Amino acid sequence: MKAPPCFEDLESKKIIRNICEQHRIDMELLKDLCEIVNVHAGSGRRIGLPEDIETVLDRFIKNGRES
Amino acid sequence: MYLSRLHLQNWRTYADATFEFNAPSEHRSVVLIGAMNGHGKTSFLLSLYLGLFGRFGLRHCEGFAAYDSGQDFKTYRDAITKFRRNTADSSEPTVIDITLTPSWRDSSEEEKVRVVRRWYFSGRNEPKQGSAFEEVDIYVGDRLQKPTTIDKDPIVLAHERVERNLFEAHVAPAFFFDGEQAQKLIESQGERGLKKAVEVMFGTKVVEELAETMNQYLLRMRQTTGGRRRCSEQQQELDDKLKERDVLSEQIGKKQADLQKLENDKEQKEQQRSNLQEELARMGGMNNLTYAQVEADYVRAEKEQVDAEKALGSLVRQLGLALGTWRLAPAIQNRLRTEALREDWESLKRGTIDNREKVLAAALPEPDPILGDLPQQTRSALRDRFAIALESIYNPPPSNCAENFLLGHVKGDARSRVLQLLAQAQSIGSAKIRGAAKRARDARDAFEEAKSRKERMQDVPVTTQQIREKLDTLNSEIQQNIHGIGAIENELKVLKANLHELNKRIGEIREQLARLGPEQRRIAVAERVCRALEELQESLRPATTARLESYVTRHFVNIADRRFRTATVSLAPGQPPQLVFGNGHPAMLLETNSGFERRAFGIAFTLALAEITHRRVPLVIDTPLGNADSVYRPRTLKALADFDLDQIIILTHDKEVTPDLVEHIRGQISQKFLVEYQEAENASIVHPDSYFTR
Repeated sequence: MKAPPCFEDLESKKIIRNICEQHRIDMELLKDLCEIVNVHAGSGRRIGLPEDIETVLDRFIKNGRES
Repeated sequence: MYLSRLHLQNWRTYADATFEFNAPSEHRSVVLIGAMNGHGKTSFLLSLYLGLFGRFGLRHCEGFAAYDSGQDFKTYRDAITKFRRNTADSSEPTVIDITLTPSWRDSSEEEKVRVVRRWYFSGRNEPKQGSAFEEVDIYVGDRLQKPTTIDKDPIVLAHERVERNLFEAHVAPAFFFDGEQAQKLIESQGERGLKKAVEVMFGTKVVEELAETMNQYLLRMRQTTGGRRRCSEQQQELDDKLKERDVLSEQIGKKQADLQKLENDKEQKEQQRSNLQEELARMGGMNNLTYAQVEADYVRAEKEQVDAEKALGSLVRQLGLALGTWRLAPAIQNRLRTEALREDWESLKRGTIDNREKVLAAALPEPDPILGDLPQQTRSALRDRFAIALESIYNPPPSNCAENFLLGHVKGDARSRVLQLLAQAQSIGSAKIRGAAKRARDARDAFEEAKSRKERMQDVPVTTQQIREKLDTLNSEIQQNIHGIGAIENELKVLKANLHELNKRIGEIREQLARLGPEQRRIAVAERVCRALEELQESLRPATTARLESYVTRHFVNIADRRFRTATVSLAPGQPPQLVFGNGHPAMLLETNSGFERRAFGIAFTLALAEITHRRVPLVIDTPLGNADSVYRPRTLKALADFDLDQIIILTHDKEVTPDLVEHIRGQISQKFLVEYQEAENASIVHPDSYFTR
């Protein structure tokens, strides 16, 4: 799944990265969460959405990316 | 991504037609589809809206702008019935089959997307009721996508899937439009609609949706998970403490830099002070001498210099000849000595010969008491013999005497004086001169030093005063530095102590958070994500608008009339698009401009949208040039062909993109089609590789 174009664009990427740093999260986490939103919007199902979010959050926490 | 295939069955004038499009190459992106009015251009365009998006695309069709896709099914069914080929067999559905394929420029993750939409009709050619009317199959790659839930209308599900894999229905007119529609796009949607299109395509809409999703997730988690407040407060405190630590670290860094600067400054000043003190010490040493002593030394040195120079001059004069000839002296001396020997030899010889008669008279007296009375002849023979013997005493001359006189004018005393002078030059001349020169040089140096000392002696009181003043200033500055350093060191101590305390607290909170359950930790991260998303939406929106304005301006200026060369497109919030001029002219609403300017803006907006969103969606334009004049036409056509897109499909009639005009973009054309309505078959027929002729 491709990330939204604003995550690829140089200028907006800079803005996103700065805000992520300020809030001690990373761009990968946001990209993963965007992907979940896209997948669920496309499939039309909401079942499993919180679980998908939790998987991404847990991966973030487990990998020590949580400050 | 490019449109690789479009199959139309029972669609308007098309009975059963297929367009197969070539994969675009790097420099050939333009596809020309020529059709006279009523032969199938608009049908082609409408098939894209309705084939891809069904009822969600109807409002982009002429006459349906106000259509509400959510509720009004009847209008949609009527519209499809109207678009259905009027002579279609009732047993056959109306079918639009669209395939979009990734181009060589798309990432390898992209897959081919095929949307097959069928509408079914009853025996009287009336739309079937309910869900029997419409059917959609979606293939990603070659895999048929099955509905994932039965709770939702399969058409809606399919629609969401199309939007997810391609783009949202409401931005379709930004990529598939007729020239006139480009104008309407601005008029009907205005700045809000245009920017919305960008937000969707750029992905900022996804960010908005994510923010909403995360807020819902948090709400749900807070309801189901205990200890939310505790976790949230601790996380907040941790965030605050981490921010506080960042500030503190920055302060410490700054203070350390200030401290370093002050220490460097102090060191420099101490070095200056040391140099001045040394100078003062030297001055103090001179001060011990009396001025009389210095004066006496000066006079003495001056006299010695004069004497030494005189002595040197005299010596040079005395030894002038010797100095001039001292290099030839040995040869001259030798010659003179050998000539002296010859002179002595000749003198002795001449003396003996001159005394010969006396010697003979003494050796052979007359009468001779020894030899008696000899005959005269005998006596004469004896005299001759004696005379020869006498002369033979000086023959041959001495071996080291000269054979002749080269320097015959230098004789006797003169020769002795010359030899004496030469001997002096050889033995003592150069040494004496060197000695005298050294004495003169030493005397000159001594005099210069005495003179300098005498001069400095006169300045001593002023200079020492100046040095003392400088030293006072330096001492004061060094004291200030020392105080400053002390103060900063104290501040640093306090700051470091605070940092230590802060780190302790951060450690404690982290330990507490680590002991929290997984739900609470997720909440903590999710809260941070929500705050970041909130800020992100605020930051991305103005940045995106600014870029959109810049890109639209660039494309618009490239296409529009030259008088708009200095114009800038403004998409100010709540305002319709305007043209702002740098030369002081008042701003101009775009909707008040001529039809072609509005058309040019629509095209510029589309190109800007593709550029800003990095979307490689095919561009399909029905009559892009309209009634543009002969200057606009090639310029607009060239701007389109030059744009970096995979595929640009231009639908045109014979008076618009004429065969002559095609020459302007000959090298950029990938494919041509000619669509002709044939009355005999009552259908539009697609002729690949054909076009209008002159």
